[in-house]
Amino acid sequence: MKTQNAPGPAWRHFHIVYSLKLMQRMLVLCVVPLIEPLVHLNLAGLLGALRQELLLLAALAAAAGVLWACAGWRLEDGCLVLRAGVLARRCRRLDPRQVAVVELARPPLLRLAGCTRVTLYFAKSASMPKVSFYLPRAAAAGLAEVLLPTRAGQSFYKPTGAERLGFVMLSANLVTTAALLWLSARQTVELLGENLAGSLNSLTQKNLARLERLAELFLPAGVAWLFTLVLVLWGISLLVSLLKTARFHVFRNGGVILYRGGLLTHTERRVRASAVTVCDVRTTLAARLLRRYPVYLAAGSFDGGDIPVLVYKKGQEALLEALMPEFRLPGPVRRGLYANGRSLPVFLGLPGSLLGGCLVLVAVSAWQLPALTPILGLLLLPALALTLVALEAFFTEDAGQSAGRVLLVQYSSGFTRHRLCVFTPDLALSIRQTPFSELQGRCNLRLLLPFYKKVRVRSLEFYRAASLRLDV
Amino acid sequence: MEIRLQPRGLAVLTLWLCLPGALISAFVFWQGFWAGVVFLGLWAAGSALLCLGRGRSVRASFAGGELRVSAGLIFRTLKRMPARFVSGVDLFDTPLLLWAGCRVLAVHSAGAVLVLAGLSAEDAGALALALGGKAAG
Repeated sequence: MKTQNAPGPAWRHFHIVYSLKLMQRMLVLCVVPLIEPLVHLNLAGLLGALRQELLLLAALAAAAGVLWACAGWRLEDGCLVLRAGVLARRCRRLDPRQVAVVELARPPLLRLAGCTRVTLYFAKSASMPKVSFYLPRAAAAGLAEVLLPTRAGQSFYKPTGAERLGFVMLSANLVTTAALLWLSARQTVELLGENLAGSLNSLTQKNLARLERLAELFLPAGVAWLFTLVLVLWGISLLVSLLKTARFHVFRNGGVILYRGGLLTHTERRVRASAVTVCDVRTTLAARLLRRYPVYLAAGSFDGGDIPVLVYKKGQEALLEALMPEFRLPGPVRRGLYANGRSLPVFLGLPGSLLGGCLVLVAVSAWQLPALTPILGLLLLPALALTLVALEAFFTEDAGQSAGRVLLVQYSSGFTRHRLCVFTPDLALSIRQTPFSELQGRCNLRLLLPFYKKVRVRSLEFYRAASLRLDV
Repeated sequence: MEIRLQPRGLAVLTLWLCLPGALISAFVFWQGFWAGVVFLGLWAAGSALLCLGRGRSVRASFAGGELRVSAGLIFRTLKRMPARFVSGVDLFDTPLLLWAGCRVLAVHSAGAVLVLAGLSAEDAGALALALGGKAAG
């Protein structure tokens, strides 16, 4: 994918934001002159260092400007060519046929500058799974149209009413939101300093304490605190999801699946249907409650992202087949799947131990520390859910091939049951047996999908795993 | 095409496995000379057992456009990789491997790397050619 410079159409510049992003990477250099005066608390030295900072910033801006002026892109013989570097130049020639997904993201700040972040995900090249750059809005839209063209058509899926509510709830991720909040809290402390961040922290705690007092009206003290925390995190994740999934549309025309949406950050993804490797129907705890199932598409190095491409309920399987005509939902439980020697400890070992541990803790606390029992009792719920999901996996986890030789896989991971339809023939298998599973004619099957994605199916019949056809 | 690992290649592998043990043994020798000797002996015996036990059970075959590698006496594994999935093949050698007439073959794909160490030079070359040829086609 690397070529020499050749005469052709004129080079076009990236958006000026490209240079700001380069500067952002180099800003760490600005910290260097400040270290010594700060360590020795030398005010005069600090003023001198600040002057150096200004010079350094000017130099960095000049360097970023030169790098921006020398970088660029152009379309040449139907290929996208990206150029970067001043003295040591690098040209990348990207074949549009290798592009699996084009993602156009416009966060609020980029929108103010009229800029779009373009990310290209590739179908096969493991050495360069994706590439990102910044373009003016019109240029980015034009480039996306050249790489993965779509015709204007009717929207294929547009959640409204109760469906929209379900879509928002199923797109919300409590764990990711908690992690992002923790990270942003740390960054706030770094940016604002301990004092200001501390006062913000106490303000938040005061408001949380009010909510907690409200919860204490109907819950014990410790449980009320946990309830408040989960409620606040869930509320924030729902809000984030609501913003992300606003005005969400899915189109399918030609060989391209296009979905766009978002209120603050406008996101548009174009997925080449022929590059889709896996279609994943996830049954999360929320999905079980709402009886609606989110569907994620993975294509090339793109792993499905944070928003499902659609949410369907029972009876709407035709929607999935309209999205991907080859799609088949893994069927009902096969006869004999768990009858002949499937190992229950393989599935229930970890969650069962966790549940047992929680039960022991609850029993001990009920005997010695009754005040702690409600909190520990709450721990029982996730442990019980994990055990039930593992028990379900014992009865359903399977891998097989459909009549069209599409690989259908069902497996569970944590609280989520995945039903996969693997379209790509580019995969390898690894089959493992222990002496016990060998006696029962069982094995653990691991599917090695492109871009190092792995799927594990436990305690499957060895003959079925060994006879899966890979010459599709 | 069916391929097995060579005893000379396995001996070189045993030596490689002994190297980390030799490095760690410095700390054990620090505690006591005989403790170090016992540790080194146990490590060498474990490496030899692992290499000879598992290594001699390795069987690789290439048929019908698919590479199959089975290994293990107690904990058995079977790896299947279609040649279409192979993106590149690397052949490694060291002076010791050259002396033993063996090679290390690494089969790369977009989702996994399969390493076969201790193949005879002829087998490794033939397998690399078969996989490379298929992959290119």
